Amino acid sequence: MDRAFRKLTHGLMLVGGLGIILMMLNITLDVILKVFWNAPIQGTVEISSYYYMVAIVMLPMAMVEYDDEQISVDLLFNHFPAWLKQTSLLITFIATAGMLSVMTWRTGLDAVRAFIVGQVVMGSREIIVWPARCMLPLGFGLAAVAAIMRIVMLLLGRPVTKIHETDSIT
Amino acid sequence: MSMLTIGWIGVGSLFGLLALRMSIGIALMIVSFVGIAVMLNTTAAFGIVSALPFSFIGNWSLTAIPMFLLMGFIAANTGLTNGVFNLLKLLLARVPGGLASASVGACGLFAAASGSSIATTAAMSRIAVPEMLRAKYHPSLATGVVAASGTLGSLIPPSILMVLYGIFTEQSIGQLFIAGVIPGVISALIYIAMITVRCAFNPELAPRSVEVFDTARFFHLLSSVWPFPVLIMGVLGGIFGGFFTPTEAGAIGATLAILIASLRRSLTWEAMRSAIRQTVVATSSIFFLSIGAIMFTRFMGLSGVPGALTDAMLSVSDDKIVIILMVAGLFVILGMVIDSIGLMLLTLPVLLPVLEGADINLIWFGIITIKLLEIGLVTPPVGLNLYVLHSALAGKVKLGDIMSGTTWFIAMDLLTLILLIAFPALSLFLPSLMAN
Repeated sequence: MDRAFRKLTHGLMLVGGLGIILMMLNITLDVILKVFWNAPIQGTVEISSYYYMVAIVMLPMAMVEYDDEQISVDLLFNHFPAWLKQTSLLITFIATAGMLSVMTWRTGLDAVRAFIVGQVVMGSREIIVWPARCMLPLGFGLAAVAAIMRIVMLLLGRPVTKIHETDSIT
Repeated sequence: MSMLTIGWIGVGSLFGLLALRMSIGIALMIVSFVGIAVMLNTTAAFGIVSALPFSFIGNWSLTAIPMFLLMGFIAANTGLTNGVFNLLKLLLARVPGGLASASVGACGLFAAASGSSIATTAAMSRIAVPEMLRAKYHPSLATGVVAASGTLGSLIPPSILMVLYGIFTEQSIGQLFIAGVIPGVISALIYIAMITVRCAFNPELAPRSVEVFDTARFFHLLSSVWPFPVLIMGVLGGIFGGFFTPTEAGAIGATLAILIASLRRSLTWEAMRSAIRQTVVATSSIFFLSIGAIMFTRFMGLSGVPGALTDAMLSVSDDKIVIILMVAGLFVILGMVIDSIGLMLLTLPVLLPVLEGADINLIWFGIITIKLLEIGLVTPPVGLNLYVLHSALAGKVKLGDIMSGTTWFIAMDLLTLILLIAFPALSLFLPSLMAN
């Protein structure tokens, strides 16, 4: 169960990574064609914003949650006694799972609505957005599952936090 | 209970949740969701949950964030900096503390190829610190210089912090980028001056190099630094020359970095894979936090807290400098416990109306904010850069030594900050040229 879930989250992270490479190539090509031949790739802005970016942000979210890579403040926490650490983590994971479930539910309703009305964005080209909207409940939902898995791991006494210094940003 | 009271309770509970080590993003979402539900009703609360995330992620300008991150991580993982450092090392060999000054210079140049201070610090710590330790530099100088100069990564464009700041304050990202150039260069020059003077008076800090200047070696090294000018000209030249937007520049920069690395035959599968993973994780976590921040902005706006704070601060004084100093004090204190992106996104929703009320130029304030956040990166206890260095060196230098080494640099940063506040033109001169 644990390993299957890890594989799934890792796989989705790789799809997000593919999104990064595709977006990079798409925008670069668009700029080159625009500057030299005045022939931009129609829809680059819309596809990048609504497809690549949504994939890059949402698909790895479960892995980020599962691997304890979200940005948090652990100054006080590090000085907590063990029992308080456990309690804080438990409260945090339950709250995280709860909030993410609300996000999943509402963005899920939106995705369904977008699908029914066949929502499009207008740009240089009309682009349907419901498939992109579906990535939100998928990402939030799996991240909620990740939080629930961490509750179980915490109760089983397995490690749920990691020291992640170099992977962080800015 | 008035909306304002609920707002303040929200701010208080936010810090309570953060103390539990809840991720900043989730804490912001919970406080905003519950706050709006109590203040108005659950329909309004559900409204922000469904409307905001998708419209925020689907913001074209934000595509620059993963692209600049990727460029920086590729440059770091493929050793693009090594040539520059070696060249500066040779040029500054006879100057007191030359290796340390070469590190400042290399960090500054690397910053122009990276949008992130952490990436800059991580890259330089593996190259410059071992070299300085071998040359018998004092460990606190060897590490302090890289921890401090790494922060140039956010001040010298491109910069992830500037992209986020620009979006949240509705300022031009291109103008912010160019505004950071002079303050970045000043910071680096002040560091170098301080290093030179200190090492001249106290040679034990940094033994003089015995290396003789060798013209053949100079030209050999010169031929190995070409990737840097190409990358910097490609990205910054393209933005300021008007060939593409700051948003598009990220993709161009990442592509260029990959091309350069493959031409230099340093693009391994492992380097690429790790750069992509680092980019994906960083992007996803930054956006998660930002979604929370955007919800919090909405909650704060409805509660009237920023307005009350504006009135309170303006009643103390409506002098711009006094307000900036109050905000600076707040940032320095909070910067000790919260990391830079988190701190910026936590405070902007509340502070922005104050700044607008006092008619403070937001480009100028952006540069000051970023300098302040960067000081926060090297001040203990939560100076992320200190830990990045410590772990990159695998514990070879004690954390205490790294911290004491940054003290001198923090003093210099405060000097730079005073200059930036006293002379707004240092930040605003270049953008004013661009506007014409």
